[in-house]
Amino acid sequence: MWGGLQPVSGYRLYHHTDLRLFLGLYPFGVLVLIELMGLVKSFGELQVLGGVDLSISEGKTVAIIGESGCGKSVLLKIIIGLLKPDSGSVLLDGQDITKIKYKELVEIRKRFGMVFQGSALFDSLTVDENVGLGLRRHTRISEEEIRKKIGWCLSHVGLEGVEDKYPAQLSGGMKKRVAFARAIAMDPQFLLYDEPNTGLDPITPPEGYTNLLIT
Amino acid sequence: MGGAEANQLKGKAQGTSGPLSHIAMNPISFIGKEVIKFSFHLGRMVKLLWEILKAVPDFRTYSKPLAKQMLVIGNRSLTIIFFISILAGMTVSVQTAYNLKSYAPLYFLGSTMEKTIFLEFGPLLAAFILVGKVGATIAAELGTMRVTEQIDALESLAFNPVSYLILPRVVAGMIMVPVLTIFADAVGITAGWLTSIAKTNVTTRQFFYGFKSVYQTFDLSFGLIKAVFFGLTITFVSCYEGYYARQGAEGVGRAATSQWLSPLSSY
Repeated sequence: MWGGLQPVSGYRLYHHTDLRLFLGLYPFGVLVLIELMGLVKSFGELQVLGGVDLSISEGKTVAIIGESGCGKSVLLKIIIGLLKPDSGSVLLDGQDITKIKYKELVEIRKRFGMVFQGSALFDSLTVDENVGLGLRRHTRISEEEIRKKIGWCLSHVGLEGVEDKYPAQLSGGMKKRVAFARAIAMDPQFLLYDEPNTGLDPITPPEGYTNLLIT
Repeated sequence: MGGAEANQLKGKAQGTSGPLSHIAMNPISFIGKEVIKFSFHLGRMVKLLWEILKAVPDFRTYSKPLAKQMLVIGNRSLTIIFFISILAGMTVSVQTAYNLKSYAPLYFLGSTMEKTIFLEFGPLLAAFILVGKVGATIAAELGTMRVTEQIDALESLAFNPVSYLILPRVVAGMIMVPVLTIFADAVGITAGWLTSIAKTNVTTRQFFYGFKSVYQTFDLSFGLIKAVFFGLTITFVSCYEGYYARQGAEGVGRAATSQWLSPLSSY
């Protein structure tokens, strides 16, 4: 099913490690940051991905559309290294992340933000703790700055004054927006978004969502 | 009549039906499958244990959750351990007094209390309370986190889930079970002593004479060493069951109930 998937952007894509790109032989080329090559993934006898090839270039929004259960979430989880493919490779800056050590993978994950299908907020933590979890662990910025950043992320998705609430006190749409705020809190280079429309208010979408969908 | 129904009736007629008939029909296949299943779980447990050991230097990740888990384990268990230890101390005291009545001096009550509570009841009570209350909670908590993708979300935020979720729970168990054991020992001995002087002719002096005459530091330390292993086993097995939970709510339920044998295995 995925075998024939082509880059959505329509540009000619070259990997950024391709020397010819830097020599100016491909002046109209686009910097390729993530490249999936021949990804195969099965669960038992059920093959979910049957040789996916996909290139994602810098600054582009790529949408993957497919019927329910066709492996969209699995593909995202493979990109971020949560699942290992049966075969094929995921190249990030030329490095195959399916073959690297766990410590290196953890460092690579800092460049990603991911919003899960069911939000996946930590239900024992408040909204503030959820959004600020990565900032408090991976950065050495002051608590005041962290709070400012959390406030900015939440206002970006149209949620203010919910910092002290627990996920159980939020509606499904609000949870999704908090998950989005958590994903952007670390200023990730890549944002992976599983089911972006679920829970989105169709009448007045928050600014952050609008930007995401029209980029 | 369907083929399955006919087979079932045939099995009943032969005196075997259900899963037992399957075992009787294919004993080698059954044993083989069980051996494979056991090896799989054992291997995965060893791998998880190794990952826990590797995560020990990552103190910055688990220091905060560790303090929280210690508090949770202590808070959840203290009241129930208090009451169960009182009952245990009273029961040991009354039963020992009844059995010793015409055979041995009553100061033996203190001696029996010391050996029974310090060596066996203290750590075992703390462990059973922990497995019933805390172990089930840990397994259900981690199981829910697994099936709702919270563990995946944690990994996507560049956290090592073993450092953040499992290690603090295991270390908290190893620290708190001995602490709770000391508490259970103290409450049990006090309850036994008060029951002895209220229900028998033994005096406080006689009771503590018996207590001191057999007391060895080894008794207390051996009980505490046992408690450390109980804490390790209970929390580790609970974490293992929860961390690898699958299949939604059913998997969480299975995880929460399948860790109850852990204190027996460590015993």
